[in-house]
Amino acid sequence: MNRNKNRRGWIRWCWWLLALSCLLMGSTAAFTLVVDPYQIYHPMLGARPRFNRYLQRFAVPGLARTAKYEIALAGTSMLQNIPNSAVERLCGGKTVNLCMAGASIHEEALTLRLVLQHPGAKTAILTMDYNSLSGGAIEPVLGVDFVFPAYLYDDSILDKFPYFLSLDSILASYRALRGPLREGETLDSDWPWKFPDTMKFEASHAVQGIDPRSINRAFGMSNLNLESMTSAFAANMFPLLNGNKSVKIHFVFPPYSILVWHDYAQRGQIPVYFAFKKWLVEQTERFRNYDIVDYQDRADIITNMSLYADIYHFNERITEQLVRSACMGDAVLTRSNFDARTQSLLHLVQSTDPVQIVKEARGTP
Amino acid sequence: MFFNSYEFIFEFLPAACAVYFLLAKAPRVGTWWLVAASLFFYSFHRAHSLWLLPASISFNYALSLLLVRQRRKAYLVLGIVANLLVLAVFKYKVALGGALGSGQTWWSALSGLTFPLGISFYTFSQISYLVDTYRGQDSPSSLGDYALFVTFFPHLLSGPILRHREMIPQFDSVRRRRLIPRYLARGSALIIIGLVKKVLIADPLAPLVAKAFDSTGALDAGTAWLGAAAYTFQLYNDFSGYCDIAVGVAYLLNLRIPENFRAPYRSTSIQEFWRRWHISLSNWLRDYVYYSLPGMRSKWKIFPYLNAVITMLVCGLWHGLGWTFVVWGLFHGIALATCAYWRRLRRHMPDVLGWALTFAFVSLSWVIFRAKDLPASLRVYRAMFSAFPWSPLTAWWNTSGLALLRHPVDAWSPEADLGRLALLVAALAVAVPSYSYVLARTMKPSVWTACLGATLLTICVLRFSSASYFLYAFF
Repeated sequence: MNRNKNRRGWIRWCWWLLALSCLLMGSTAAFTLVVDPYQIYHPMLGARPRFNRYLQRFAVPGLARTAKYEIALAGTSMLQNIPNSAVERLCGGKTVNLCMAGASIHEEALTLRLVLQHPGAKTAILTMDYNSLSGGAIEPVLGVDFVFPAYLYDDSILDKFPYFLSLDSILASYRALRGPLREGETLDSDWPWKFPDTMKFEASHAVQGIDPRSINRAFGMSNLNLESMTSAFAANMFPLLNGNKSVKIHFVFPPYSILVWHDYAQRGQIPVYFAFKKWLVEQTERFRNYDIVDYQDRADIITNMSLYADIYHFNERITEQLVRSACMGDAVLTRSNFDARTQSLLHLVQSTDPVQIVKEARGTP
Repeated sequence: MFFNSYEFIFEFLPAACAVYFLLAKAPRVGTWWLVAASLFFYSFHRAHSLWLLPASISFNYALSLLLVRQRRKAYLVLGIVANLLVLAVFKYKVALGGALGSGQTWWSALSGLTFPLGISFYTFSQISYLVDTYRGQDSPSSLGDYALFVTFFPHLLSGPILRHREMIPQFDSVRRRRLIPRYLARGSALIIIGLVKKVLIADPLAPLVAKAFDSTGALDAGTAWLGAAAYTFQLYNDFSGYCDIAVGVAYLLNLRIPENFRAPYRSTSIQEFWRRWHISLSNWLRDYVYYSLPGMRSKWKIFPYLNAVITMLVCGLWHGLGWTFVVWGLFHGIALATCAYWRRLRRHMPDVLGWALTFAFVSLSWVIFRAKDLPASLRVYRAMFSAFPWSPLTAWWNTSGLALLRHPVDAWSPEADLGRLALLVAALAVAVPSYSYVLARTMKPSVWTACLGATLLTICVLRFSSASYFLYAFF
């Protein structure tokens, strides 16, 4: 009798524990789902979404899924500094910017997969950054320590617990509804990933900390090889390009400043990058729905250091030109113009002196 | 897979338990189900090191059958040497590589192999089985039961070290295939207590520890003391939290695995400390190392003391092949020998003094255990004892959890103060006259305990996204 009573008491306790846990966790999950601060399931409710440049990897999958757009910009920071309205004016379609600073080709492919699933998507403009092919681990970006939220990019519901049941999501929901804007955060959905004001597009700023005789000393980039670059691209992009029927994809080679090419020359990397570029051009014949837009031989841009904030990042006017070229089909790199254009870039590198460029940049505001 | 993960709590554990009880009428299938579930659990993050576990099980099982048939010492030696060799190859390869010449081709291939989690635990469990079989203290089981004894997922990554003869009768018991509400509740309570220790106490302490031990700049006395204290409580809460969850999960399956901690920081001597800290390892070392060493019955009275030092050196080496572990083991061995000698003299020491000395010794010895090498530990010690004794006390007062009491609540910053708060809670918890297993056993089935449990569980789950690995998974 007593034993049965005891048994019933423990059964009741277990049910209480289960019910209360479900109630508490269910409430927090429901709160996150309703507010949906990263817009994974629906546009945010109750407030305007916030865009935090330190949390791009959390915001991008939601934007790719639930924003209304026809044109998507994705990839690294090379295309992030442009208002959506400018792209709309240049290309004539509602735009979303899905760029992530320091994105790897894997992250770019995860984003492109979501774009290709979007019912309204017609055009995707993607950066083709050599560094995204380094194949290394996903490192913390911009000094922020985080784990890449891969669970936000897939279609499984079973791995979404870190989103629904996490203190970070509750805080993000709460801050989105009530909190003040924090450093790196904006409500501007037209230009969510605008470069911070600390990035000044001036020649002297662009060459800060650069040793022209050993440019890579300031960056510590590792050398790449053709095999790892092509295999990284093929493993991540080929499945998507294969299955894509409806979205026009433009890969754009951004116009790094001439000092970047001098860095490549100092490290003996130019032949590797040209070979990769050639290989990529050859793939356009295999997958008809994409092309390659190349601005890397534009002497008027890459030799003018006053257009840059550092040796890689150019101002929004150049980004606008690049995007317009992608939409208009200008500056497309093909088999027929490949040799001439690469030779022209090579000649530019050979005919300039990094020491002189840096000296002039330091003397010119 | 780790206990403090969404996959474990919401997917793996409910599925593993549910299917196990559904298979109650087919106990052999149930056993193999748990083996399969354990291997899945083990391979969740590191599938490439999974092959070693079945290979190790097959080898040791076959050897145990041979030992039963012919009790030859050669078989036992072969088993022990092979197990230790595998352990050395995988666990000590970095250190051995340095000593043997890492430039060699065979070494390059070997060093490409990843560290199999939990290897120290399952290797020691199997060695103890071979020794017990040889001594005639244990009898063989079926392959399924043996595989489950080794792979049983609650203990697989961080212990406790199981004994074959304690587990097999439980696997065979049909009564244990029924759901017992009292055990279910006790297991749930232990899982929640373990999660609280790990997620709410140990993890927030990690930044304080890293600041003292992993920083490269100048180290002040306050940060060093804070780091040392934080590590003392981080290690305990991390490891004992894991063991609480392991025991709790076993309870859910109506199985009992040994309790591994009994409030060790309340010990009044170092001998008592080792009876309360990592009990399964202490017992293992006592039974298979200490008592196996020569000279225990010798007329030379020094042997028991010497053997204590040697045993603790083995204990240090079990944690890793590094000078820090050697020195740590040596310190503890000397402390144990000194303590034993003191007892032999029949001198009395007040409990408060005994506790203070033991706690101070253990905390200070954790510094060398945590530091990445001897110079790094000296750097922390030097900072701790700079301008001793007053400046450390002032620094400690300014930086410890007690500092929370002195600054206004609205000046608190969660990131900075969470660690200090955790330190304060952990320090106060030492004074609680009970510990997790007793709490779970004496708990009453009231609505309030269920409410408290559900609230704590929810808070822990909400912190899973920033939870870290268990420290002992890499030993």
